[in-house]
Amino acid sequence: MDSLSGTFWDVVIAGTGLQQSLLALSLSRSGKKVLHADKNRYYGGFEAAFTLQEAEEWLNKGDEDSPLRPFRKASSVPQASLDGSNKAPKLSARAYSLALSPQLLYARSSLLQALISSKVYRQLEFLAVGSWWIYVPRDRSETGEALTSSHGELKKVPNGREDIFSDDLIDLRSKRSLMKFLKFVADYENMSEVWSDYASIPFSEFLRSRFGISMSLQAPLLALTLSPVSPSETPTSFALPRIARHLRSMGVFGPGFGAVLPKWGGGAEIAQVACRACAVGGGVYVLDEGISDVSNAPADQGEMPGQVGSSAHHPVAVTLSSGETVNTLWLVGSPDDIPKKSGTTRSGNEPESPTREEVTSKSISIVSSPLTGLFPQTAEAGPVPAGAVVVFPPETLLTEEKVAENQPPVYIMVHSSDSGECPSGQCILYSSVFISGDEGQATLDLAVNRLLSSLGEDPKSCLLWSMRYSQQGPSLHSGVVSSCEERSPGQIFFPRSSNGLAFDDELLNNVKCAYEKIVGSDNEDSSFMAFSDREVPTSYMSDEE
Amino acid sequence: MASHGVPRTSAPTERTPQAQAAELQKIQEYKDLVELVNTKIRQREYTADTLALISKLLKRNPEYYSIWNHRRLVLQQLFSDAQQAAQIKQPITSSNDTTSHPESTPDNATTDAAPATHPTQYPASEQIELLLISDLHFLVPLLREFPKCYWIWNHRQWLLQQATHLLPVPRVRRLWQEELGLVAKMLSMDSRNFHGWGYRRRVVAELESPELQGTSMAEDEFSYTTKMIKTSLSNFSAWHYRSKLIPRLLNERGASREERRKFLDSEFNLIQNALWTDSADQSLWFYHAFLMSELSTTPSTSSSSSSSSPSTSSSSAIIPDLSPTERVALLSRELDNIKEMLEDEDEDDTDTAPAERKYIYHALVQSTLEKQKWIRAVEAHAEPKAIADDKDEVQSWISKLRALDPFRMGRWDDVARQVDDLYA
Amino acid sequence: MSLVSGPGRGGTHAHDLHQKLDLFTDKHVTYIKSLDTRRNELEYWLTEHLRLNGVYWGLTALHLLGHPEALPRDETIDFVLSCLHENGGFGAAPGHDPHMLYTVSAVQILVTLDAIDELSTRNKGGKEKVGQFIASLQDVRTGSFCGDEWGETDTRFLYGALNALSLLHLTHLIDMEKAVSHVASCANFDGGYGISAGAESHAGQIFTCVGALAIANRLDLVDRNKLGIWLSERQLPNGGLNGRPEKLEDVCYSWWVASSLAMIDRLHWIDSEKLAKFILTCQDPSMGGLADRPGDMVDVFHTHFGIAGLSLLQYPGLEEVDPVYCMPRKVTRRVLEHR
Repeated sequence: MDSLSGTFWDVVIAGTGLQQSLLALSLSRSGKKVLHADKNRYYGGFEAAFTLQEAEEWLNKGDEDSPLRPFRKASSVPQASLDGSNKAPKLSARAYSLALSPQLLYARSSLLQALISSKVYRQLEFLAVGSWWIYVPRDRSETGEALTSSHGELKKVPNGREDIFSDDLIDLRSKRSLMKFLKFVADYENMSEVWSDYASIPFSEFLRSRFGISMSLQAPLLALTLSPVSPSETPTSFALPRIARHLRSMGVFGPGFGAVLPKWGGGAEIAQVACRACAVGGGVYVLDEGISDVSNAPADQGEMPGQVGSSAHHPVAVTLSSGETVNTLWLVGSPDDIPKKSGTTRSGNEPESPTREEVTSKSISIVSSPLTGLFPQTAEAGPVPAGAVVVFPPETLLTEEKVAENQPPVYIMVHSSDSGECPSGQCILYSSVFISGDEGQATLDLAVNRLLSSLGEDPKSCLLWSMRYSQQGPSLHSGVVSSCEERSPGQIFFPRSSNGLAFDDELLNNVKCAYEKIVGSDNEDSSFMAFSDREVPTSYMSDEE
Repeated sequence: MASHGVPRTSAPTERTPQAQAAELQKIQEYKDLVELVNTKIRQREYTADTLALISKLLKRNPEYYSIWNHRRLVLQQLFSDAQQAAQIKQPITSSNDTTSHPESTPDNATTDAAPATHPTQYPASEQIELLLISDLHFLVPLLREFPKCYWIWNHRQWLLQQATHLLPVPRVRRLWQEELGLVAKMLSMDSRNFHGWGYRRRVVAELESPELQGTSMAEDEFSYTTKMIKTSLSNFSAWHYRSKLIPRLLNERGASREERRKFLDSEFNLIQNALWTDSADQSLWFYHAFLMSELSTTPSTSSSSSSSSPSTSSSSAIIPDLSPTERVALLSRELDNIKEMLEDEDEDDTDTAPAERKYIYHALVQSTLEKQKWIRAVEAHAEPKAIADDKDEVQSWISKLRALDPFRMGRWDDVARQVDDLYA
Repeated sequence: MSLVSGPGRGGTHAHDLHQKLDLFTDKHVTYIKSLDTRRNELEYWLTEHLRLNGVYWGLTALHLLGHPEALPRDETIDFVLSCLHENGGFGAAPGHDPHMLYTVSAVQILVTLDAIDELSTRNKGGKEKVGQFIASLQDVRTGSFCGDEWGETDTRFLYGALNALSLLHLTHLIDMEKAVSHVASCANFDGGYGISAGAESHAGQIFTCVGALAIANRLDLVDRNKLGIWLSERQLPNGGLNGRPEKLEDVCYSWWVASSLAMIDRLHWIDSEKLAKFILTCQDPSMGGLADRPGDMVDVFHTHFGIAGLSLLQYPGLEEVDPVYCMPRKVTRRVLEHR
């Protein structure tokens, strides 16, 4: 194999997380020499998808408490078999593709548009994310007896006008208020006089005072914001664009749904397809190679060909974990992929004091039931979805003693076997809550149990396997939008991936920022992620028009 | 019909010589095909080969109506050929199934003399059914591509009519039943396609007909409209169909006065629910006006009221015999309902689009005028004070209408005149 | 007369709606005259089945624009007669099967050109033959009319029959009373009319039904206020008219909606000025012709109806149009007032 150090690289990308992979995709037609390395043996970085075996290995690597390692206190808890007899089915390790960061992709998202314009969408299969559900505690059974707080049911979030019309439990006045809000939010950018005063005020306050929507009716709207924090901490400026995105995406790809998930494990699949495109364009890929050192002095190179545009900087010398050192004009990665010691760094901006980071507790559970009740067909002519969103408003998980003002909601993304992530007859629960440590995991356990009970399943017997972990990432909530940063000449840093439950368009802005630095911003904008079909046909690139 | 919504990009005059040459080539090919088809028809070559050529041409240009006529000529010939063939090939069996053709004897039995499994009343039905089904299949992709082409829908209907004439009843029923499935699919793709709705009515009428041993489908169709409305409130076509079904529905139910009253109330509930959900939707207001007009057929004591309309609306679809008192009560109830919609409205409310409010005011004005007419019809109940109060309110609403909807100023002028006349 | 679309496009010169717009008469005349020369376009051949309609649309538009001589009279008559069949019906073009739609257009063209006599002088059986063809298409049971022997029924054909027969003074050939009662059976809850009994209200069908009633002198059967309300609601914020609720504006509805309103004395229930402005934005000022809406390709169909609409709105410089017949008022006056 040719030595990597013999080549003068235009770009070295560290880590195959989604942002880096999208950058690789964006450069796939640029003619730039790209070396793309990942310290793991798998693609996807923090957006990776694991087989069971890989998940166990990852978990067993153990807790590394370094603040820069985003996953902490991960532990797998396989469920014990019921009565000692080996009732627990043996799980086929390779039959699973568990997504570390399952995110839904809205139709009206720049990411999806980029996947389409770059033509790689054809290598991806997208499945509908259908119904959204809210957990509602039930205090009376059908026969009228009082129930304990552990009983509840799932109520579907209305998709729009017709759902509101058909809902007999909403009174007429409330229907009118809800509709008024929906019509407003569809065009909110042009109606700033309605909400600008409320921008930083809690969204529920806005709904109550401006639209007369009572607390009991706010839950569906709050759910649509996917806000990681409690309603009282969710400002109107956060909520409106997200609800607008949800509503505007509705029906774009088919009736009754607005978001999709990529088959086979979410972001990982997108990352792989993006990397593949870069490889086809000449990019070189190495796994199991991290970056051990970076300096700005070139390793004994005389001529430095190919300095582009405004980047009149010295090339960067990058040492891989194998010991080899390569020279490149640009090094791009996240703080977790590029070591902080970077030779001649500028004084000032310390890379490791990022914007206020917070911890989300997450769990992945394999359930031995398809939970088909969560996946009704989206509409008469619509698809059977492979994803569902279940939201537990904060107050539904509190026991009577606890009343936490800022208790966050729990989100559970449920993926059916159609997602390719588990065998048929089972489904995967991806749960997350913006609470750290043991408390976070306990809250997730509670939510999972309640979800299964409300569907008539016995949590004890149908949970086949689960793992718990935490993710440290920039809070969506801090309001700081970090673009890409050139911390030293030639070194571009992406912010750590977000914890959001939906792919954030900011991600693509970061990629574009890096792209423009690399190719020079006097290129036409339109070439970013806008490709025509390649000349050489391969089976999966056939034009279906 | 001519082109609608055609945003083409390059004008013909801008085409390259190569493109122009290519076009001339296409023209020649097309004209040759047309000539070929027309020649065959002229020469009465009504064969399966000709049918195939016709299919090719129709795929190219489904609006070429004469070619559809040609197709039907060919098909008619093929049907009759099938019938001829069936009569010659008389089935010979060992049972005493007597044949009706004296000239066929065991000696003349053909080698494939399979026994007939049902009476020779429809001798060629299998072959004909095959031809029909094949044509129906041919139409499906065309229909999907050109869902608003009159000629395609017509041909489909013609095929089904042929089936009704030529095939045994159970088969015919099955075919029409399948059509119901097809039209449901078409309407789920475009719920406002009036060709689809018209075809549906046609299909339903056939399935209900005594010839096909049918029974009324009014209840099912009524439920269908409910379903379509729940799928999209703005579905004017569904509301329209509903309005047509109601009289028949109630008659078939043999609905008593009480039941009719209940029905009217439930329809009002439905439309109120819809209006409270979306008071900007035109279709809903038209249906509401329809229900309101049920309450307000012209009183016999009306003076030279310009709004009186003879024959058309004098017979109510739902309850023909409401008393004037009942009418006033119902109109008042509805008026209160509509007024409530305004209660939350703020004069300076910017998030309610003006269009929406106009419908509310218009409904208020219309309903009040109708109520007034009925109040006067029931002379005993006429309270001058109440009438006068109303007038100020109505005039304020009309001013609102002028402000909210200036395009229809002429209409508001006429309404204002009506008000003056009424309260004069 | 070809039905090719383009090359022009409506509203290609972005005009501010508040700016004064002109009617580009000369461009439209040139455009219409050029239509038959476009035989090197495939679309010309693909639209042969509309040819005779196209002649009617083009001719009428030219008359309204004040250029009645722009199409050569004799050639036009020759073309029309070449579409005539033995049974008195006309096809869309030579060799195309006879059908009500084209028969009506043929009659309208010949009447406009004052050439009905040619049907006799050229031994074509006279106007009676044509009248018989039309009359034969009435279903005596229901009063409705078919388009041809293949049985499609549509109130358009009923209107066409009354239009043509009244122009030929041959209405006695049909059962007028039955026809009228059929129209009445097509009335809907909103005051409008549809293709057949039970069909949804549609502006085009409303025009045909109201027009038919006008010809039969039975406008008393129309609920003018109800229908007027429905029709006036066709006007959209951009000034244009749509054909039924929730649909887009289209310049051809400027005719069907407006003429229907005119026939029931409710034309003032819409904003004529805004409508006229909208129609003008559908023009292509450099290449001529009108499109269904700004930005789309022009064609003779929309050109005709846009201009007819403007005439109805009394746009200056145009000949008066007859709202019932969609023909120059001069012509219908000549024919109908002279029995």
